[in-house]
Amino acid sequence: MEESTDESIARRVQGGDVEAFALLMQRYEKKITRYARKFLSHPDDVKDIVQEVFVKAYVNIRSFDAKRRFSPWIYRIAHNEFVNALKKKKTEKISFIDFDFFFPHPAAKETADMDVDKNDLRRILDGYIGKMPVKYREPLILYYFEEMSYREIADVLRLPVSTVGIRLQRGKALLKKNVSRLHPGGSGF
Amino acid sequence: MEEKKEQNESISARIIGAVKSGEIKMRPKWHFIFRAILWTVGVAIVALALVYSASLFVFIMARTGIWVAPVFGLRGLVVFLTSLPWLLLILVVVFIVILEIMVRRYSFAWRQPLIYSTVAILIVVAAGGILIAATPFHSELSHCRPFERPLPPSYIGASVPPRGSDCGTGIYRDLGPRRFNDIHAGVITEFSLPNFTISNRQQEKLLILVTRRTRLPFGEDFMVGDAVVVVGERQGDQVEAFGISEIDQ
Repeated sequence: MEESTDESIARRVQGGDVEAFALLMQRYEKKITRYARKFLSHPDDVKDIVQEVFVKAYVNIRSFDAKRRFSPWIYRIAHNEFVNALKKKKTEKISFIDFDFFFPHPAAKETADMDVDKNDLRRILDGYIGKMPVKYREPLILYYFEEMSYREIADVLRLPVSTVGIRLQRGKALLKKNVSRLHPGGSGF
Repeated sequence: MEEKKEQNESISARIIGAVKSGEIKMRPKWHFIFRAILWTVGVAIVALALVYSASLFVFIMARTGIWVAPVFGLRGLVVFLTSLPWLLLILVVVFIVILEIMVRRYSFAWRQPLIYSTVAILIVVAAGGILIAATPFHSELSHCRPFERPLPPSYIGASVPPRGSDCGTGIYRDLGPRRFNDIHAGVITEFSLPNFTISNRQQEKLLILVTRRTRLPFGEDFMVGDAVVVVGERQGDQVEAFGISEIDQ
């Protein structure tokens, strides 16, 4: 039997099929929980926040355009919830003015050595991601752990694609600097 | 692993349970359509308010001749800066910021760097402002008549439009020409060389004193009927001109 797409399941939910929503949750719970654990520096209330993400997704499911991809839509809800959680905790600085998306940037393209790069970086990032500034942390998580494309990350964060590229570049450079400072001569880069 | 699975199942089960019990309800489609319409109407209202404010700014600048002041040097620049309708200018900037924030909600805006949508808004505002200011829209709203030039002989005895000093009511009174003490726009009615008399929009006759210090950056080839802007301090019905320039009204 052919597996249903997220979008076709979402369409069933929009039509009132509650059980279909359970199927969507089954597909996304693990991903959203991983995203939350890496993004939020206080993992104690992750379960409540993830639950809130799914509640909001259900309440607003009729705003989802089934002609588009479901994944960026639900990740966008998760992003909003996580940012709100960080604002409430006031443990991290979230800047409202960011010149990264004010001016155009030359597009940073994905390269052929990306797979090797990705695996290495994923391993290193795991230990340092919590120490990264929020604006770099999020695209790094979405790219290296959630395996999203630049375009999908741009849809989640509502940023120009070129800004996503520049943040990934700067995030990687910052990570390299931090790792080199903490482990001189053995950064793994 | 088992614990994790149990935890996941509990989130899912809790939400499905809450949905079935009616505790969590799906918002109807019309809710989102209504919200989108409301947002679009909000954007349109802010855009109209912005274009109106911008055109009013251009209208005031043109009416009062403030924009000419900087050509008379540093003193002219000071007069220009102190005479600018700053409140209106701040209002225009605030509307631009609000419109930019509202427009960023649309994917066509956030997919591009902020500078693009800002420049697009500025172009629309500037073009809209200049176009509307060029129409009789503000003149009619403000009851501000154009300069009444001296009538040619054939008009003597004919029906003459009513005269009055009602230039500026409501917002136009607060933001308009009356607050500019060092800038005087009017039409030349007669010469008593080297001085001349102008009639302003309030139908006042002002004697313009032309001295050796008076700056005339665009020449002194004035005639009766020419619209001019005079920069200088007014004392009674006399103005010692610091600078004079002809303007196109």
